[in-house]
Amino acid sequence: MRTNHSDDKLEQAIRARLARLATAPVDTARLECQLEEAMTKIRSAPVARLVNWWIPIAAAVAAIVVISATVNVRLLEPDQVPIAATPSLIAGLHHEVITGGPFTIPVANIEQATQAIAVRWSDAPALPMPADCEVMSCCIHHVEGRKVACMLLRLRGKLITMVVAHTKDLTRDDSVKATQDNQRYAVYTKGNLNMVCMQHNGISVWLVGEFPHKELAQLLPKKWMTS
Amino acid sequence: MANSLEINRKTASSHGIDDGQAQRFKRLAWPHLDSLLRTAKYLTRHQQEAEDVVQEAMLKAMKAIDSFEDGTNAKAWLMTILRRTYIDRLRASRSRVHEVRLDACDPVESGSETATPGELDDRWENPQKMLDQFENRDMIEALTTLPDDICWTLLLVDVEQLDYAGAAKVLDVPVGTVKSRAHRGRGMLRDRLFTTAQQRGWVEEAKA
Repeated sequence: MRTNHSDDKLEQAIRARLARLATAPVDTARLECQLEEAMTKIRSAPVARLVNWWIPIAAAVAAIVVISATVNVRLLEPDQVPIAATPSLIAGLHHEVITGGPFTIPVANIEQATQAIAVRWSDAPALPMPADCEVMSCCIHHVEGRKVACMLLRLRGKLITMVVAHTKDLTRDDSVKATQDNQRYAVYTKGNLNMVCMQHNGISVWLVGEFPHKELAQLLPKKWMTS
Repeated sequence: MANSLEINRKTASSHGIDDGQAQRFKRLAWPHLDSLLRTAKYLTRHQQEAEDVVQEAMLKAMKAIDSFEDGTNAKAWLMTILRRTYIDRLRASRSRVHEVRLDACDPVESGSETATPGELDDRWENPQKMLDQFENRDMIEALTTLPDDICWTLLLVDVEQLDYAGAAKVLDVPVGTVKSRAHRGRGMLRDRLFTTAQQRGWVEEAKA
């Protein structure tokens, strides 16, 4: 005769077996390419319509918006509160950066990355040079309206994302912090991703990848770890 | 459901999206792409079709990105759009085999498909061992023969590990209904797997 205990055991076993279906590998590469293409079309389509119809009106509205935005930004700037970057947010950026996209700029070194970022963001923070890493690409992302610079790096065949922002815009999530060897930096983990955050001279830097925290932290010059 | 109405309204608009919205969308949606594709693949059992469904759903979601509230469950939000897209496509293609499953899905709560206590399960003395014999495709086969609402519930709760509240949002039903569907669904799945095990001559093996 079946008991409640055996019922539970059976139900739990079925749940566990179903959960294993989620571990089956899924190849999203082709879908991602298709989506990128479709997203680009959607973003460019309305512009084409505007060009035909609304050039004078759009120009006037754009001018007003730019002036208003400038005034608003200047008014709001002193009270602007930095966004605390959660591990999920940084992991999301990492995922986005390694996925690539229409705004990704291929670069070969930190100088090229700095130039490419500066063209698009005049007030961009200085990009630190991670030791031993191959620089692959860079891009600018927006986090709740704040700009962040992202660089895709490669170390021993594995990808690392470096996210750089003004600390006044994006700051570390202080709910998790580690102190190791007198070097202070915040550490986080999200899934199989480790991330470290260091702040120095008003600039926040995150390094994200499948490396131990300490190894990620050591990629940046020592001065970053003493702040 | 207010959220769904909002999604439809936004999706219906022909407005484009700006780069900031596109970036926000990617940040929210990309981490769940594998879950969405896996779910669609299990439902359609066809890679290309699954990709088409997910792409359509993702584009709807991108256009409706402003309706998503930060801090809420992005995976549940995307799954809601995926489910609606899947059902719409299913309804649009009347000749498909899956059409039968839609017709067969009601009423879920009043069904009496599961075995009487004691009828089957004393044979499942080692459920783990029994279930390990089934390959993923067997599990998916059994899962997709269940009524749609039950199948979706198990995909969301047991496979994709959404909590009951998240699954309730996706399915647009109360949390209690999700719990009862999940429980009933596991029983129905057990019955189907048991039949398969019998056909394959595994039942006596498991008893031994």
